[in-house]
Amino acid sequence: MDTPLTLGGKTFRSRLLVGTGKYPDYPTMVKALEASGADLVTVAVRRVNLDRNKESLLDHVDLKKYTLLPNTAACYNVDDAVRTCFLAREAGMSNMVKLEVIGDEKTLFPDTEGLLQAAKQLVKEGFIVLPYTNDDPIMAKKLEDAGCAAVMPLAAPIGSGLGIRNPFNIRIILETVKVPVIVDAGVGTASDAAVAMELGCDGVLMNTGIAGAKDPVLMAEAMREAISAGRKAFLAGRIEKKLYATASSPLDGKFF
Amino acid sequence: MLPQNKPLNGDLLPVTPEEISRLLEEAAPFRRREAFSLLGTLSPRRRLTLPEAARLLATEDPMVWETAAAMARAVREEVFGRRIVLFAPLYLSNECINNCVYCGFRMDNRKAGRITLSPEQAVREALFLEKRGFHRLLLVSGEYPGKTDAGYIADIVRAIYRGTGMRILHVNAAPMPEEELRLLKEAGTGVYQVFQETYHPETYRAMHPSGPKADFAWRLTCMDRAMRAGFRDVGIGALLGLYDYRYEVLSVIRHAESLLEAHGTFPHTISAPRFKSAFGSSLSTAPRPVSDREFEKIVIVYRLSVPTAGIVVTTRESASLRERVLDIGASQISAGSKTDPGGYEEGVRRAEAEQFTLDDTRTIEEIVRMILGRGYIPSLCTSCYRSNRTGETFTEMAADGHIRGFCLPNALLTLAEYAVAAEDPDLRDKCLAAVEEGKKEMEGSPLNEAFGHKLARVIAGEKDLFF
Repeated sequence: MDTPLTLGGKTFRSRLLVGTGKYPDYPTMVKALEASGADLVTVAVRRVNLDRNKESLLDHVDLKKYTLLPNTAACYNVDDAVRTCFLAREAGMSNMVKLEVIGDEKTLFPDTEGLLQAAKQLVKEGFIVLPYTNDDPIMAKKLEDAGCAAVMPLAAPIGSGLGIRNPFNIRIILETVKVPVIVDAGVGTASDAAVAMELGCDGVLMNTGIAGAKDPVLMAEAMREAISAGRKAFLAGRIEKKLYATASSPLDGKFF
Repeated sequence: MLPQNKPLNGDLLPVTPEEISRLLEEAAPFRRREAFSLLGTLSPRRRLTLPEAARLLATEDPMVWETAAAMARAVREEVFGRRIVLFAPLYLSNECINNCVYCGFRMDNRKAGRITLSPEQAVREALFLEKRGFHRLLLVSGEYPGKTDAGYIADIVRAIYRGTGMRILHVNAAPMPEEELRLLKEAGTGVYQVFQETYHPETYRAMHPSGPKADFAWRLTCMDRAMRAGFRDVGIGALLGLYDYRYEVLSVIRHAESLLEAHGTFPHTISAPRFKSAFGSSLSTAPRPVSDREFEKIVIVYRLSVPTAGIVVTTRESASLRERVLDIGASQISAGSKTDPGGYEEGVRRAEAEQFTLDDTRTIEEIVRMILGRGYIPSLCTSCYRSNRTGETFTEMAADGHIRGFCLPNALLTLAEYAVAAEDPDLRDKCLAAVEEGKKEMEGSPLNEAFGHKLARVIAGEKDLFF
């Protein structure tokens, strides 16, 4: 029997976390969110319209069904990221934040130095911090020590769809930290998500992989199944890899 | 970068005079129906293109302009809501080695009383303005190497931040090399502003006969240097009345487009200064006068073409015109201005030290009353500059209609702060009544609860709370 995903003291049924950007339109986003089975939905605070007279992304996310996870996408320095988290809290979105401090516009890799600094400030201010970081075990440990409720290493650059480029680092991170490890960014298709879960990750966060697919709703469903299959495979314990065949119906030790 | 005095090379300039002249020549006036269907589609995202702006400027039909004015107002409200930003200029120096024929600061004006403020004097001026309620200033200086260069201005910027509660300082000063602009930026300057005066090279030559300002290209390329020096917000403009206003307006729009193409951001502000006579200048009337009606058209076209920019109208203009332009797209106005260095503290008008003659001499209190009376919210907000909602981020958010969600609560918080400090009880009541009215608009905003808390703290005497 599996245990639920727990982040900052809150439990979630689904181990798939999804974004809300890049969808062709809001109705498709709503359907994809539904098909993904996700409980946690991340929104870029910068993209949320705070003017009540205008159509806002928040109008389309059923807050009875989903928990909002505001993120600091497009924040390139500590100040910006911290301020954005405060704004998210003031706007009543959540106290739990996906923290991004982006280092470079071209790669969107995290500025881990700034990330750690921002994480420390936010933890001190009572935020539940889920940081988007590199697949770097040392930084993952530092973030855990700073009080982050999880670490979210990237599989590959945001939106690249390259899948897990360094599964070994992810494994080391899993061995290094005790907080949940959620692969964030770079997942292109269902098998990528399954691989992350088979490695033992606690969850996968994705946006472009679903929103950018030709059929986002069908891909959301595929991701849901891949996460479930990968998790089950991890719990079941895979067989060892061997170079030579091992017969499926062994004759040794049988009657004749 | 174009070195000084290098002959013009049109390819390197953000605006090519030939392109603008061709646009003007080819622009056919809109037929009424054609104009209506176009104007109806405009929004912060769907701006008037340059050829469309040229055609609108060629159109005389008053009904078309009436509709365009209504659209300009609607677009302004989509981007900024009902708030009108207030600021004051602080003139640092009228010493100048240029000879702009229209300016009272020109070198050959022997009658001018020359003043260059020390950092201490500038702080005193800023304190005076702070007492009146201003939180943002535009520092303005003539160009005098060794006296008013970047180091001097940067020292003043630092001194004012240190010695007063000013929250953001913008600078209007001569074009500089990148490394000098970096000094200004590092000192904490918000917007760097340079007006091309005229984008028409021949007119430019005639208007700027000597001094470093005679270099048209050095001035025209200075915003690219500013961006490389780290500025994210810049302000541009043309001095209306020197040449055909339609040519100037299209050039300003093209300049704005080129900034978007090269740096991902529209200019933060577009100013619309109009020629005014100045004491001791050699040009007493505008070579190509712009009427009030034409001035209104200019504001409309700026708003529709560069929807995210703050459109600035200063006290050069008459009270009635300034009130009118609030209804057609202007979003920032100065108040209670003095254009002679040291003029605020002195308190008496010194025409011989002014850059130009002022028309609207009302105080900030009178301007606040006027804005409230017209149904707008006077805003002393400075939060975008201090929350990194600048440059590309600002342009994007403003075009998406995401800035006005900040403008309303921040305008109300600064208005409440202004009211608390106001000495005149009637003015205080009027401001607080407007805040109460604005509170209703906040209902339903995700920030409403946090706004309520902040507002209560401001009413209780806390300062500088914002989103």
